[in-house]
Amino acid sequence: MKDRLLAICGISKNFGGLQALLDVSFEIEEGELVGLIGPNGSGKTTLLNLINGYYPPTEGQIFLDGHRIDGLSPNQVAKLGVSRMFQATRIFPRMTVLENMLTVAYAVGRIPSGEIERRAREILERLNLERMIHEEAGSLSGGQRKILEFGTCFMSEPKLVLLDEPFASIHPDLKGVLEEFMRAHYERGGTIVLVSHDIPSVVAACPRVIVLNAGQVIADGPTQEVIRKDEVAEAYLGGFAQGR
Amino acid sequence: MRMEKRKLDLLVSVVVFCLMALVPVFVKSAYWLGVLVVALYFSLAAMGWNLLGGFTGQFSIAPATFCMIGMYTSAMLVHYLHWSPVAGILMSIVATAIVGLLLGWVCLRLRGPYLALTTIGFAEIVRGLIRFSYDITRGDLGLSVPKLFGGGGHVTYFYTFLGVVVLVQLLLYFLIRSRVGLYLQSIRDDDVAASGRGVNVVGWKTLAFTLSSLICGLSGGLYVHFIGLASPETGLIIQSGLIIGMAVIGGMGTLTGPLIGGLLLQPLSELVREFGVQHMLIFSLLIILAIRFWREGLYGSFRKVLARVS
Repeated sequence: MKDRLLAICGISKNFGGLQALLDVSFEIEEGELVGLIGPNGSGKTTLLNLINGYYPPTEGQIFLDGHRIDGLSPNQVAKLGVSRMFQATRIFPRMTVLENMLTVAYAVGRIPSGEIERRAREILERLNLERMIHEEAGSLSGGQRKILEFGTCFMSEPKLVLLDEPFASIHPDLKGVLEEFMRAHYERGGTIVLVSHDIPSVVAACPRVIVLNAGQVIADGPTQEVIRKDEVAEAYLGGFAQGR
Repeated sequence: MRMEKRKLDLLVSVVVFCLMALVPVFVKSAYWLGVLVVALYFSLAAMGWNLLGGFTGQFSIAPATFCMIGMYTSAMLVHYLHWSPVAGILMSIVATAIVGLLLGWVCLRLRGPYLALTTIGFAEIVRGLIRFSYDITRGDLGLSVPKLFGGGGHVTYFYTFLGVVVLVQLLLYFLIRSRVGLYLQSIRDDDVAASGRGVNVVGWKTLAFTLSSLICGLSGGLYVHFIGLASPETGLIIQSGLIIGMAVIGGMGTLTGPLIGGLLLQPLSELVREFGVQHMLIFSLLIILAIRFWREGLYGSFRKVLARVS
């Protein structure tokens, strides 16, 4: 039996008068690859920001591996094994590609120091960035920056990887590289939450999907079942669900 | 093969230091040796500011204030308690580290213009306290202190200042090459992303404030025992502007830039001084032009050209 890794328990978040999330609850087990989808403004990124510790929840609790993490700072959450790729790319532009990778691993401290550089080179090679290793990250193209940020998420043996729109603005060939990398991590037992508007990719990659709409979970279950639900099709999926 | 940028920084610094070590062989004028000692003081302060502004991205406008705190700490200990200048200088480091730690803590949640304005406020408060505490500091008249080497010539001061600058540069080189250097630079580039990737932004920012302040304090402690007078004039905002200008024009966020900035701009400032009251105008214009056309600073531009060539 798999262990529960992440538990979201009755989470609500208000920004002034705006109810961004309302009583959201679900659990994710170790080794799952879960799609988190929903229309724009449905609360997906807010939920990731709550898990990461960027915002405190207005109500509810978040547990990672049985430890309560709401109220911790982002760096404390990262050290517990949660890594994050942002929707708008966030890299360290004046540092080299290699330094971007090393910073995460040293700061999180989940792998031995002696292995860090070897691991960074290995990941960069798999992501076709090895020849840029000593280039300033700011000199990379938009797509390459996205891939670099994606790579940093896997530097520190994370327990949970939160990927927010990893395929946006990526060339189809490079998208294939990311999908392959993600699949390999999942097959090795890694846990991933994938937020994406690229529904075909989510459907192809994720055995389970959670749908948010207006800050609430409207569906959660096996992907093929969820995307056929009328309320999901209505809220978000439109023609894609009918076409299947 | 391209050289790693920090190693290139070190190599260029070594070349600059070797050239500087030869200066007293060729420059016999006590006046110009004195100017170079002042230039080394500014270089050291610019190196201290650069750790915070250039490597950590925290734009403080109070480097001269920390120099002044260093000066008065040593000056008062030597003047009133008859400590030796060396002990006074060591206490300058301790005092500015403590004040820097406190200011860093106050400024933790501030960024950009808010941080800059807070440090300006801090600078004016400290200068005001010194000016108006006449009974202790002698206000605008300044506090006379003995020199570090008594009757020693400028050559002795020159090599002492140079030795301290070399030592600090070496320590900064190892700091920036270490994982701490990575954390500081990640905070500079994107503190939100840095915290999400495990960097303790609050802790490392505080450390950067503390180290930057103590380097400025050290430069002030040394300087006061070179000129023999602690004066609130040294903490003027324009003095901070000069220090920041040296770091920016030399190459902010590089190890060598502030060193070069101080060593070139201070003598240059002396050269244009003969234009009388207009000298600050000319000097300021040079700063604006340099920022407009060499945003990476002199050393940053040199590094770029070198990268293109190799």
